[in-house]
Amino acid sequence: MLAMTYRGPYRVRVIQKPEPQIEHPRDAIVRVTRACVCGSDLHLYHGLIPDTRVGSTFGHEFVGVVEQVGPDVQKVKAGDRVLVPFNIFCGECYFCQKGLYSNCHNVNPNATAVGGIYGYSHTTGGYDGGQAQYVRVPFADRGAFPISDDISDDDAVLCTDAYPTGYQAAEMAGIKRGDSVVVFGAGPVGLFAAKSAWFMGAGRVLIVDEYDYRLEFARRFAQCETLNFRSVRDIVWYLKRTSDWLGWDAAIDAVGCEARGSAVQRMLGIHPFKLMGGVATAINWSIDSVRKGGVVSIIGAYGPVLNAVKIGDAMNKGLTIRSNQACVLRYLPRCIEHIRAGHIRPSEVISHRFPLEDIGEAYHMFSSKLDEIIKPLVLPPQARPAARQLH
Amino acid sequence: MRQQILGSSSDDRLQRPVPGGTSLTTEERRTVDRSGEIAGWGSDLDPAMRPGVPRDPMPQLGAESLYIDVVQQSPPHRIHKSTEHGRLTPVFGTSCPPRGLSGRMRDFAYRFSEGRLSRWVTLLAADRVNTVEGVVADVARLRPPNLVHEMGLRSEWRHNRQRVYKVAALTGAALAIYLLTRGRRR
Repeated sequence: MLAMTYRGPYRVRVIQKPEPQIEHPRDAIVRVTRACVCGSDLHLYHGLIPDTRVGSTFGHEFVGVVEQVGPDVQKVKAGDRVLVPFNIFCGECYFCQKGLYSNCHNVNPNATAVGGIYGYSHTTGGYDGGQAQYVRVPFADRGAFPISDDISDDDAVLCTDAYPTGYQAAEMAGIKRGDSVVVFGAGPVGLFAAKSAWFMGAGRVLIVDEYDYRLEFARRFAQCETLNFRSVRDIVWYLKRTSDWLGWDAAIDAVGCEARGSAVQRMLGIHPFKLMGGVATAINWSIDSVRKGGVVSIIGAYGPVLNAVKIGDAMNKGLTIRSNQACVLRYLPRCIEHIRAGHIRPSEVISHRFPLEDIGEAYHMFSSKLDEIIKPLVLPPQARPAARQLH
Repeated sequence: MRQQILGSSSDDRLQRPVPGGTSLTTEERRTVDRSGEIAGWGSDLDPAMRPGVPRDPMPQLGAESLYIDVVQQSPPHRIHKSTEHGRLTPVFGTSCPPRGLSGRMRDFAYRFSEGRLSRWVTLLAADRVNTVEGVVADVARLRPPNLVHEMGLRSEWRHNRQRVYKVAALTGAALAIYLLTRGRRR
């Protein structure tokens, strides 16, 4: 089969690879019909996540059709159209029973601090991902979610990660009626977080980024206020001023470990030194810009090493900090209800489509923010005729 | 906005107060309703509508449910296990077996717990060694990496041509300076 493989920082190659096999009785094999490149794939692409091995296939956002099931799979069957949440989870363990599917303890032997994720290094279990023609889906009865006919593949693929992740970010912010919410990052997760903040009754939503084209899109898509942090001298001062010196009720970090805005953090966290698990600038701005007693919701991804976080300010301000990888299955039903109700159309964020063979360009363009890219979609060869009919 | 001057002294603040922001007052907060202008506004205002509330719905579980009782996947090759795991997990990925020097480095790294910096730094170093191993293997197969395709540089030509010209000009200038200085030395 055709699959994207990692060759080293900033290099990916599409090769012929053996098709995945059923390795456990609860596995299924899914034929991929849509995959996306996620902002967090760029952390892998840039070589920032430990134990990212040459030859591994990325891709944790994908939908497809079940091709084959293991003997113990009972609910899904060959031919089912499914979306696959990016978390790999058993659905039965201590953490899964609490709904913490992203923290499942039975799928990642390599680390306990993080659960299993498709195509996201051996630190998250060593699974190949969905930027390929086929992918192995463990615990398929839980991990493959049937898609109803009224949800398009383009909407469904956004429901595997970005949209529920944004929703969970807003929920973790504990938003109450009239709350002011500042979202750092106008990528797809930030956009969905801003949109979801309205669902929860926010009174004001401001989204912060450095790319004007993204902010312009955010104004249209999420109807929120926007701020290019490059346009102000001191972002914390600006955010305090625009909140009448109170501070914002909640801040959402939807950026993660490659934030810009602090040369020192980038020097220590990315280049030339790699002493930290990335750049904590968005967390620090979140801590500084919320009011005392406010909430910081961290949904951006960081590496497993230490970070220079202003924990003293967080403590002195009495902040609540909530965080997690999104527990997608928990949020899917509600997220889909919003789509059906016409509150949101996730596929609006898809800005570019690439054949799988050209995935190197998708990564480069997304990484370098070329051609006003927001969300790249990847189409395997077998999905392309259908995609042409749809669009 | 860039020209805004920060008021940093009491005099500044008193003589030239910065205009206030646009936050909602208490009364506005209580009555805010933007459902007419934003689709879905307030539909999840009630925490009961939020799937993650309460976040920890089953607090009474014990340790017996940590590792579930299912068939153990058989390892086709060496699978690294965190020292913080009580056992090999029933299911795991088999993407890339550890091989060569980078594999040895990974073996070493996994002796440390996740709390130790040595583990993560060794893994990152192994990743870089693995990259070099990949290039060496490509060259050995007489298939050197196609960097233009792998790095997606055609898109740079299509969408950021100015940068391509800039890089080409700088490279040309550096090369010219090098050749000139080398000629003078001779």
